[in-house]
Amino acid sequence: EGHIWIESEGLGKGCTAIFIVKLGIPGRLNESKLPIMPRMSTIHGQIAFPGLKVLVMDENGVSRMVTKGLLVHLGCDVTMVSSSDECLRVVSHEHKVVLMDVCVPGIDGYETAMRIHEKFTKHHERPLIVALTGNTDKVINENCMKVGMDGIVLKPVSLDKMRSVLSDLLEHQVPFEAI
Amino acid sequence: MERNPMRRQLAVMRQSLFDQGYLDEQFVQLEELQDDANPNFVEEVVTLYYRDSARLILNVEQALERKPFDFNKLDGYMHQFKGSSSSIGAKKVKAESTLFREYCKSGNGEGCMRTFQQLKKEYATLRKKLEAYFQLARQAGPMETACHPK
Repeated sequence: EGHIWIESEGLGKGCTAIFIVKLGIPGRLNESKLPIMPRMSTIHGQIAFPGLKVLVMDENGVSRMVTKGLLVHLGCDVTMVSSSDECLRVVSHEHKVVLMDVCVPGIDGYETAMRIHEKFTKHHERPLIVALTGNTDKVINENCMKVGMDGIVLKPVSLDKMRSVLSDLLEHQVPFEAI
Repeated sequence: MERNPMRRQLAVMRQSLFDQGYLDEQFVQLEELQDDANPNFVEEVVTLYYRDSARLILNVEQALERKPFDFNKLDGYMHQFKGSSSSIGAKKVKAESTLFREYCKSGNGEGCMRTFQQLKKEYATLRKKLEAYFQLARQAGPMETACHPK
């Protein structure tokens, strides 16, 4: 449960990432079947995600190529799809993160997110779902939270932003292991 | 040694693209993704952009020939085009796309047509400049990854 969003007054004015999270009590996090998450490793002082399986859904070919380049640069194992149907067909418990573009007319990212929730009934098998959007207004934020997205990122995504979004998401799910 | 003047020229060319507002920070992000595994990443993305967006430009052109204008359709095309332009850091082109979309939303056909002409000009200008830039980059030989003060 939680809420994360980004606010900005405009280009060049910086942005603030705000999140509200509900934290667990350590004693209760003893699920014996926690997935083996790829450990974050540091390469040259920068966080990378070797082998992290990510599924990207984006109808726009150029944006898809850039997102893939970003993720590959961070060491991820990337699968690309260009439609909701393809996304639902391809998504599996092996994917740790699904990045989906939610502001393309004709692709209903929200519905796709809900169907992913339905598909993975065991919480720890469900991939983390992150919305990629061209603008973050309150309506988009609320819709994303309503359908159970785990995060929202404003496009275009920078390398640093992608790195910190992934590391925050993964940290949230499992205790951080210092290398 | 011969390469240095060319690399300097390349750096100057590159800087002017930013100073004159043709490119924004997103282009730098693309450069950061270029490495040994992907030595031509930037040029590949830009090539894809011009290939992909040619179709969108044509769609808009054809849609502007049909009266009355279907503003929803026009906005849809421009939404895609803006997304692509934004992904490569095409600053001026992106700005014209934004303006075009505003005219679509307010149903201003004249505004759309005027802005589209300007958009095509910026799109063509950027293409020429980037082609020249990549050509010089190839001649100058492999460069270190672009770095900029953070």
